[in-house]
Amino acid sequence: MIPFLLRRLVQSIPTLLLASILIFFVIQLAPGDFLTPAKLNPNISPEQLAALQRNFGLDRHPIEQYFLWMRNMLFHFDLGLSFSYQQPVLDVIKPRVANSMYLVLLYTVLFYLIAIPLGVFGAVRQNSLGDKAVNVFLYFLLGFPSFFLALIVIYFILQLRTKTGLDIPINGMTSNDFDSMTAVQKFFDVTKHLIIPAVILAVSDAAGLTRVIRGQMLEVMRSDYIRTARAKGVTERTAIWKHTFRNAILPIVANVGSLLPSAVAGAGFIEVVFAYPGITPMILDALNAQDLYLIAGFTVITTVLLVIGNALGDILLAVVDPRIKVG
Amino acid sequence: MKKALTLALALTVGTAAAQSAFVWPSAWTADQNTGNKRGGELRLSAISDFKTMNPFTSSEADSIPDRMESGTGLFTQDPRNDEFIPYMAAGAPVVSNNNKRFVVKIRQGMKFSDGQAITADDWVTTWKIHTDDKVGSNSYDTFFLVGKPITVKKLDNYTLQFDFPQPSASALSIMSYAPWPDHVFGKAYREGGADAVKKMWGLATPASQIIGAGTWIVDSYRAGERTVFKKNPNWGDWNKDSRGQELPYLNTMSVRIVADANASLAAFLAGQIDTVGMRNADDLAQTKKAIDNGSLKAFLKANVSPQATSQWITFNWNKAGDPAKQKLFRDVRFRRAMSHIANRQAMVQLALGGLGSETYFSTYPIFKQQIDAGLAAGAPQYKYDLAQASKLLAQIGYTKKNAQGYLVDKSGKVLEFNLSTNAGNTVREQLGRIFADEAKKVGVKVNFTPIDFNTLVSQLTSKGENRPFDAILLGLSGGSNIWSFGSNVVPCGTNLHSYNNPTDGKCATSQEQLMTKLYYQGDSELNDAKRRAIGGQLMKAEGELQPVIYLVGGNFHVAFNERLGGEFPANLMNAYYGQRLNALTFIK
Amino acid sequence: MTTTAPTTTQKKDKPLGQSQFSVAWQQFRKNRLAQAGGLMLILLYVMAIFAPFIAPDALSSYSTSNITRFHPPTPIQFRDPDTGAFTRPYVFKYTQQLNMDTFVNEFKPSAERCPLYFGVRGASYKLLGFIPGNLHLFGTNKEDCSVYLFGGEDLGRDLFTRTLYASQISLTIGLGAVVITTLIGLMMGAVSAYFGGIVDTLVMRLVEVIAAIPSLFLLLLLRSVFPKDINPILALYVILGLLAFIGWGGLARVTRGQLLSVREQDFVSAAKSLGASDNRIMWRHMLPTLTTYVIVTTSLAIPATILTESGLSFLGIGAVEPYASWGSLLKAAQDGGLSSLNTRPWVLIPGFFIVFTVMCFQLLGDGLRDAFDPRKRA
Repeated sequence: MIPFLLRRLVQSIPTLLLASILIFFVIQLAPGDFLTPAKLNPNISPEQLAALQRNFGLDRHPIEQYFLWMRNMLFHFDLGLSFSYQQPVLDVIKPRVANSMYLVLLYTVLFYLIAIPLGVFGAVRQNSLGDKAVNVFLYFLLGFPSFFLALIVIYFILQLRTKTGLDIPINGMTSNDFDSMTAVQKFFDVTKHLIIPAVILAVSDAAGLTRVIRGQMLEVMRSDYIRTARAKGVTERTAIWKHTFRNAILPIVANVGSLLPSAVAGAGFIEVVFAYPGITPMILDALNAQDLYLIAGFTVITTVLLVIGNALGDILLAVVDPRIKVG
Repeated sequence: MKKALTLALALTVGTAAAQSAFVWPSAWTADQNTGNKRGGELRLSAISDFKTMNPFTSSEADSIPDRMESGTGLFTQDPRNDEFIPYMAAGAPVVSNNNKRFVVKIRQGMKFSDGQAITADDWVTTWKIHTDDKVGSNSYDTFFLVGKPITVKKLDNYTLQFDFPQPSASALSIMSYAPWPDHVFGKAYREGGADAVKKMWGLATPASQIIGAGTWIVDSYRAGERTVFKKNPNWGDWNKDSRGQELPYLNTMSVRIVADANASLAAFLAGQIDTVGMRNADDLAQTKKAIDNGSLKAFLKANVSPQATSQWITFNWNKAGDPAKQKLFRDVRFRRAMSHIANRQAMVQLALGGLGSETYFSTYPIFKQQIDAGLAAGAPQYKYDLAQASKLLAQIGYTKKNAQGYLVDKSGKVLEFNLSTNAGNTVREQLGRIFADEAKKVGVKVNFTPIDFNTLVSQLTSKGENRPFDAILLGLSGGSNIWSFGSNVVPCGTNLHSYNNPTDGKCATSQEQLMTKLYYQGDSELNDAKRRAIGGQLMKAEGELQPVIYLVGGNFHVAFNERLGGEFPANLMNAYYGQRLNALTFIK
Repeated sequence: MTTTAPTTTQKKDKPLGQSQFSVAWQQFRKNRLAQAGGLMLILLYVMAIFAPFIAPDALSSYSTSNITRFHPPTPIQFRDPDTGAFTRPYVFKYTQQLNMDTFVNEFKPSAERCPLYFGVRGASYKLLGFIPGNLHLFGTNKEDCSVYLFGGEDLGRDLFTRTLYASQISLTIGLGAVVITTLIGLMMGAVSAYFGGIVDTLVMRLVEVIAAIPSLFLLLLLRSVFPKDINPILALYVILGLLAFIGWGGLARVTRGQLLSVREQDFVSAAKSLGASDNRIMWRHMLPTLTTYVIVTTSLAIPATILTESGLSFLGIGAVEPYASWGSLLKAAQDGGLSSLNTRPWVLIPGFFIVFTVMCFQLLGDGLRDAFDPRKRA
């Protein structure tokens, strides 16, 4: 195990290096920089612009900037300073990533809760009317760009609010009086805000995993050992859940490692549409503002997590499938 | 015995302070809080998250320090007549040295939210830090006039002396910056210099450490969600309503972060926030609908005033690489023809949904007094008239059309140019589209492309003999009603003198020289009427030269939840002053 | 996962010696849903190709005097309102006025009737880029009184026309990007598997890097490198190229994995022992085992790409005026906010084209996957 991890560590160095170089220089290649909008501000003089440029280090050559950044990262574990926040990148990102994680976590749970039963159902009742109906319905939902679906949902929540008078949250993560709540109330308040975006995401994405589980189930169901089990008189229920399902989800379990970076990368557009204080709206802002170190620092973190996630996936696969050895 | 004495002393000081309180005129609100309703929360929204609490590093359009600065300043503008009245100053300044020296007495008894007295040191320190280029404050430039510094000196604890390098119409406005506590920032600055100041008051700073002089101080901040401000407990000592009640009436003000303008409208309709900017007829229609079906109780007033913004097209006079185009763009007849092509009425109808104003000058239509002065001076307006445009283009030599219907010159070259705007701005994209399509009708080929904002800005502000664009459609906002001409726009050689910006920054025409001269003349003229008359002359020169084609502007509409009281009387509401003063706002 | 490799054993099971494709075809014909999806897609593509002919108007035509901003859909009338008898189909001309009380721009049908004709002459166009024409399937022949099947959009242009033109872009971008993705993915995977060593390491590291950066952010970053003032059509090619660049990693990894595992299989060892060269083994034995995988992933990747493009349009970097994609039309609707939903719902129609197309592709891809996979047959 230890040598495996060590080797993985060594292997990940070029990936990290490549990712940091790619991101850093792509941002530099783009026209303009963080200070470009300031040029359109009637109140900022050229002298002040020059001073700001010096302060931000934007007057140095990009390669010099890169090496300075790298040095700070390696020796001081410092990802740099965000231009717009004037704070260390890690401090800026941390609360946002945490918020995104809540959403992604809930979404993932819901996602599996929806996809697994539907996938198993599809396999057991292959090509039945129910199977087809689920299929068409899920693909119908999959076709909605998530921002579009969210807009429609927000509209219906508004309608529902006016009709029923219920306080269904439209956006954000907490209610106005959040700070005066008890811990339990806080938990329920956040959950209340999370549930709608999480359900939208889970339902609209469920098609893919449902089909994978259905396929895996079909594959295993037709294998010899299930046939044998059935012949031996195992009940249908046991044959499906104990023998088939367990084997069918092996590859999915192995894939859990890839959830790690996606938990940090956030839930995408849905965060923007629901004004959820996750990482996506912030990074989109940063991209617009060309907040160099914020973007680059964030990328480094997701890359590291991907590397860890992949290694984790390999280890997990070895744990669940005795035929595979780590190494 | 000794104890009782100090208490008594404190009491007398307290009454002395109360006597010198600033009384908010009752005419500033249409809805007097006669019942003295106190407490409650004003719920607002913002589209992008706040980035810092530090007043010296903040560069956002809407920021936490900005909101903490409301209810400060030596002078404040009276929305009834635009005049500056003493606010944190105890009285009018003593002016000497040819209108260049101002000695200001500070109102006594004012305290920061932590209880420390507000004194001359706070203004001096704030000025010092803003003008340290190592700090990089956004307000740096406001303390300079034509490159020369304004200095602030403490005469005694409650007297300040301002020295201006030259007379300025905006002097009172410039002096009205918000003081920040010397015992916080001054201390850090003296001990650790600019770097120490820059490190202070990040978003992670506990709210209890944030101190201010204004109406509001930070109560809590949740990243990407909400910032809650609570009232400064010491502000009411020197701010009273006309019946002597302490202000503000409200306890808290919260600012919720929303995804976009649509989301803030949704939150408003759902009753989650108290007011929202109405962008267009759609927003008004949605609000009206919600009011009519009874789900929302709100005040709604459309077309209160024009917005304080402009949308325009500028033509590049510095095209050494393409002399034909440079000659064309420098021809005043061509630019007047372009103004005749701009179908402003269709732009209002199509791009602004029917609610907007046509504009012909750099002065926003909301500054009505200045516009009137301009029109009185004979500033021309080249209105939509395709026939007139064709006539002017024929005078330049474009009489023939080719097979595609485009005008050609003698050598058969098509009359065409590129026009760009920033991608993603729907209104501007539509304005450009309409302009291009109207131009086609008279045979001018306009290649219209929305491009990246940053690229666009660097093109617009580029200097040189061969600048990289033909024409740009963009907008400006900001500016004051004291002297409504841009210091960066009108004088030759400045950043946003977008049509002509050669390396040496010299004017190309006599009108530009005249405009530059009039700009500085007006900027240092202290008499309002005389200044407006100078502005009128400037508008006339500008209108005749037509260097920039002004298009249209949206209108300002007011909507707020009926639980709010204390809004402006109808005649004071406009895009410049807004709909209300937070200090006089109360929850019904 | 070894999902597709055993297709070869299927061959041995069928004594008739049917090819893999004819078996799949037989299976596919049993799947009605997949067939329906495929058929609808063919229709959509035909519609896209003949868009200029089917559309009654030009891509970007509107009037600045006769305002048709958010014109409601015009129902086609078949009966004479006075006599009740059937007549030539016609639409009413509408008048508009901004109601200053409700702030809604109200359109009302006037008494004027505009008959519809088939095969009218109108705006000229070039079919497929080179066949000129000005014949339109239907129209009114009148300047100020057009037929608005899907209503008007924010400048008053016919939404039906724009949706049709947009289908050209949306359907091409999806298909084009996936074709390029597949080519790059296959090539990189094959190169990686074949050469191994440092090449393999480099390619796989690059795949990891691309996978590590959230694709949305990477797309935005890469797009920002290209100047935005390039010709709008060129800009679309840039987007297409970027989508391809983002997407090839997964396929390359699978290709590499499949090739490496196939190398260990009996029939390749047999070929090797019979003296086949490496090249021959690669092209004749290894790549064909990937066909099923490629067909299936491609048909599933196209809808994903269509969705991504709409997401980019949402962020304002998709199709540029005057051109439109379904995504950019939907973005315009999104910009209208709540009004798009409750006062002019027809602006959402392009969104349903996205939903419908994606669904068809999914059903088709699903059918193909089942058809090619022997273990999933009923």
